[in-house]
Amino acid sequence: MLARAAASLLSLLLVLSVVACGSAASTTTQPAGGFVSVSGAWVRAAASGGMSAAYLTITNGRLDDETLVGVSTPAAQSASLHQTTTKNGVTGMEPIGGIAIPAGGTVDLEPGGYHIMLEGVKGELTVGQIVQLTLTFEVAGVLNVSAEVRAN
Amino acid sequence: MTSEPVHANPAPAPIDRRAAVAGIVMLALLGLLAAGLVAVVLLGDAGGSGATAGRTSDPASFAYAEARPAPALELTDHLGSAFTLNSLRGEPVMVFFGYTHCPDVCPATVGIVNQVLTTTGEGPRAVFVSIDPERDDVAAMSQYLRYLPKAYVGLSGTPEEIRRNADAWGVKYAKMETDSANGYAMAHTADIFLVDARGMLRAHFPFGTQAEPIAATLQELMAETATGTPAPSAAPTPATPAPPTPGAATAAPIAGDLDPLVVSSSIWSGGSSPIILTARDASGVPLDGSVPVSVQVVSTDGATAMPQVPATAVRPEGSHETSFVAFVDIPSPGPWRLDVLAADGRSGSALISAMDPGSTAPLGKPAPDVDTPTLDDVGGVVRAVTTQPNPDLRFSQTSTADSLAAGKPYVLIVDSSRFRVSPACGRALVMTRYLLDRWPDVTFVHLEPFEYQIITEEPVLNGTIEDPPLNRYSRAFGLGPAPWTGVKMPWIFVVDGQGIVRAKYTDIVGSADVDVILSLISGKGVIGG
Repeated sequence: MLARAAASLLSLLLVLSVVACGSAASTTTQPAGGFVSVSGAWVRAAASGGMSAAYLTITNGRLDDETLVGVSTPAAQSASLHQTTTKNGVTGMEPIGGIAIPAGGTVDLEPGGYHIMLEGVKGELTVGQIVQLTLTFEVAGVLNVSAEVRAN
Repeated sequence: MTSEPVHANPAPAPIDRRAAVAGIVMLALLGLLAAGLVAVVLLGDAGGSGATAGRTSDPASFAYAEARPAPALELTDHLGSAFTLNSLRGEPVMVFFGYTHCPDVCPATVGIVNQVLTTTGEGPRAVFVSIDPERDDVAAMSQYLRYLPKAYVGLSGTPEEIRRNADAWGVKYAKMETDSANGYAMAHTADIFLVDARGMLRAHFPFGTQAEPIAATLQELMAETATGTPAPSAAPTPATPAPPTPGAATAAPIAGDLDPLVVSSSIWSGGSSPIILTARDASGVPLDGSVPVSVQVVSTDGATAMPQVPATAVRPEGSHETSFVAFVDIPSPGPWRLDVLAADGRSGSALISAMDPGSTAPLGKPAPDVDTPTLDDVGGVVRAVTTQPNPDLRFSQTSTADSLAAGKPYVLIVDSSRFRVSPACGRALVMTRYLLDRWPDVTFVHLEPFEYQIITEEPVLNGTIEDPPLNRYSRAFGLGPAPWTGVKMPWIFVVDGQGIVRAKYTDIVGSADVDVILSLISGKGVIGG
């Protein structure tokens, strides 16, 4: 009984380690002095050719400030950093050059705030799929992240 | 909830302002285009507020003071049929405006609306009105609604129809040129409007409002429908308390499908304190390190959360248990909650208590540059380096400086057997003797903390035991000043081969604790690393 539970757990772990997903899954890069890590990455389900967005949490465990300066993905024609803001009741978004993560700080990319806009989705993004994102940080360099496709 | 709606937000601006607003939009757009910028257009007062304002959970604050007939929505639905809002009479309706090429805002709104629909169950309808007539036609709306609940209706129309309807609702929108593949985005009013079963406009929720207050208000409207209570001027009957749907990302304490056990015997505030823990799942099976684990320090009220940090899985040689070590920054001494999060989604919490490090050698920083005395340094007089009755002289062979020069980690045990200033004194040396056998590549240094003299083989303190005089070596490690004093013994500092203080302990020290830290800094027994 226990052995079977352990075996099923093991197979689950294997799956998880292959896809490296889950809200608490984090990817870390360590330049001198500390970690920059990304967790909880997900991408919204979208029709082929449509729009989507990616969201994640960046933690800067470094002693210096860090900036997310770029992002790319094989899953869409283009990926860019945007910020959604509401001014005088009108909500819109603006492209931004980078997202600063202060030393020791955490920044959430979440619906209605910072997000990675994906345009021209290549093939339908269905719930449960895994999308690769490549994040480029000013100091820490490149970080590859697996993001799970979710409905919302 | 009060029995009368609270008068808080104004109704949408009257229709006669629309033309002027449209003009402002055009001017603003032209200006932005000329400047080559893409930004949110600043429009006149819309009665809405920022996303954060919507986070209040009092549904009444979004209700209109007076209900009035909702503007007509005379457009084409996603099946290609003529639509009017009257056709939905009999059930409350959520109405919102957006566009299908919207990457962030509209899907977020759809997500909220879906949550509300889940809470309320069948009955209420949701109407998504496109404000992007250039790209959104019947087919586009139909495609967009493919994955949405049956309660949805998607409306599109000609640019003139869309403008007329949006104006009637006080909804503003403007096209924003971008250099992206899709050509442009739309800035728009992203409120969610609530219309009751009799077609009266009752409330509006600014973008960013969570599902809970919307669902609560909607349930009130549903209760009115059920009881036939007239709404506009009479007080709406307070609905049964809405079963709140907790948002996905709350800071609430984590459900206990993991049972973490914090092993660390000393946890420090003020930076890079190692926390060692083990964890078991609901059936008592310990986590073995095959699933990544991270931890997060959260204030006990859940209000302050420190960054989530990955933990390293360590299984010291000969040990059957996997420990996880994470170096955390705890802002202040006192009780904190430690959330333990496994990458497979399981999680659990434990309460920890952080101690004030005072002036003791800071964690994560170079250890004090001090050359502790060895047996050779003191001419072989054993009592000069240790007051231990039957001393293990291996603790007195190599100085801290020599160990560092050789690139070897060291464990500094600051303790006195002869001058017992606290009940814990002496135990640290006994405990570390076990470690000394296990770690031939680590230097173990015993440091007597106080100044004393040797008189006929007998150590005699240069002062009183109530206020023992610390020597320069122990002072170099920051011992002495408050909150710790010379009467607080023992101390253990673990310094890695690069001379960085990686762990420190006072009072009772667990040998497994130090063993795990040594495993980590020597790279022995680290799993997946």
